[in-house]
Amino acid sequence: MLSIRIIPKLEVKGPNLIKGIHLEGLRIVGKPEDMALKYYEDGADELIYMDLVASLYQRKYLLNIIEKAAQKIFIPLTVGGGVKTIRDMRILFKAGADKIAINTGAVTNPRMISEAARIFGSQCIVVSIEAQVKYHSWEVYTDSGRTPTGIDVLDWAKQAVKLGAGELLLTSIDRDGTYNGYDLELIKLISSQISVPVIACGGASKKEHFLQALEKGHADAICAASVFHQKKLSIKQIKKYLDSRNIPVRI
Amino acid sequence: MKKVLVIDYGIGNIFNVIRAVKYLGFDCKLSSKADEIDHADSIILPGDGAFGDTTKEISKRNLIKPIINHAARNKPLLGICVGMQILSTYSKEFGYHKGLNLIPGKVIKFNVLKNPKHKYKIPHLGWNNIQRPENKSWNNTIFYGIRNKDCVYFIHSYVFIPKKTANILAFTEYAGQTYASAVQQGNVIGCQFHPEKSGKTGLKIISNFLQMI
Repeated sequence: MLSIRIIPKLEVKGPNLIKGIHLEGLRIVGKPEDMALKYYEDGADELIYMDLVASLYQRKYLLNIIEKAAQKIFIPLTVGGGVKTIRDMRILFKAGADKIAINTGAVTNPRMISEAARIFGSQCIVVSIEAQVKYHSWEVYTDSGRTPTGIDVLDWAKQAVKLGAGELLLTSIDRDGTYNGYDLELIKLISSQISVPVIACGGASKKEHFLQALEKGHADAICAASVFHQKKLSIKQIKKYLDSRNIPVRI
Repeated sequence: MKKVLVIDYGIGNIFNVIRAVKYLGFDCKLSSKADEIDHADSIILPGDGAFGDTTKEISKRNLIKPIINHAARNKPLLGICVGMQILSTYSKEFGYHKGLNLIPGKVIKFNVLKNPKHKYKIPHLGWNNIQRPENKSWNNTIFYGIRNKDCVYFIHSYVFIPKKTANILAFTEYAGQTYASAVQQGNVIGCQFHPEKSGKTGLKIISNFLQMI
């Protein structure tokens, strides 16, 4: 039976692993290499690296982190943050990324999704969507959750998949960094209407939050950052709990 | 010093396979040259993408004959993902494509669309269990030391249906369908999943294969 996936997210700024609260105020929480290995040993099913600075100069840090990780960590690695061109992607794949996450770059230039899917395969292209509640729906934001686009989240999700996205990484801006749990309505909306796997992100702090995202939100995978970095919960603990609630997990 | 040859035919992320082999302390060589493949002790055929593109690239580099000769000499060959699928007789992915016919069988799409409720997503993506067929032992196979129902990482939309059930080395369930997740005939082996992305379980599987040299 297919297991759900637990995916720690490592946000990287230069050589450091950091965490933001509501995407403002960054805090250094450790070294990416050490944390990644720890999560791998603890049972992470995949890892997501997000480059928070993504300038040409700082990119070398991320490439170095990915290269080192790929030599010791044998689970899928997804990398994103400021990816705008096919060339950016080639460099990241060469360094060791298995999948690339694109957000602002895709909204600005949706055809890049289909081009990337054609060249690298849909299975390697994750479209990352950050959304904030607006009236009775959610609006898509770009630039690390700073710029509203006026685009409805479901419309964009459907378009991204039509263009060739193999997976969607869905983050609730309202919940991210708050520890109040995932936005279940958002996850359920997208997961029920989209034919590719959906990775839910933003808001987890208790094991019950993970269960809710799966049972109520119907997410295929769950992504979290602070809850792991701050050692509130270990991946082993979460999997043991989910297993006890009859959720298929890889133990 | 015996080493494994990883075939480079321009598709997919072969570097993951090389990294895994090196991590395990084995020597490996990357090649797309027919004469080097002809002399290899052991071959890994990685794979990503579509069946038709894969066989086209292999054919373009004149590698079909050397691969078939390698198998005929009973030397170890491991096909991964699409690399496993091309061991078959033919595939129906984006038209009809001939395979290497090293393990008779066909490659077809998952039956998901026949299910009216259609709640299963395609591709089959993530960690799923490999199961040992009844009356089959995993001793002396790439699954030696692997527990029945251990998890490995899959990402595919098509499945290989071998003609003979005796060629099924492991099976997996997804979308209400049971299918071969690993096949073997002689020393020709195929894994639908990616052992190079399957954590410690995957490394053990690769290690078992490398020790067949």
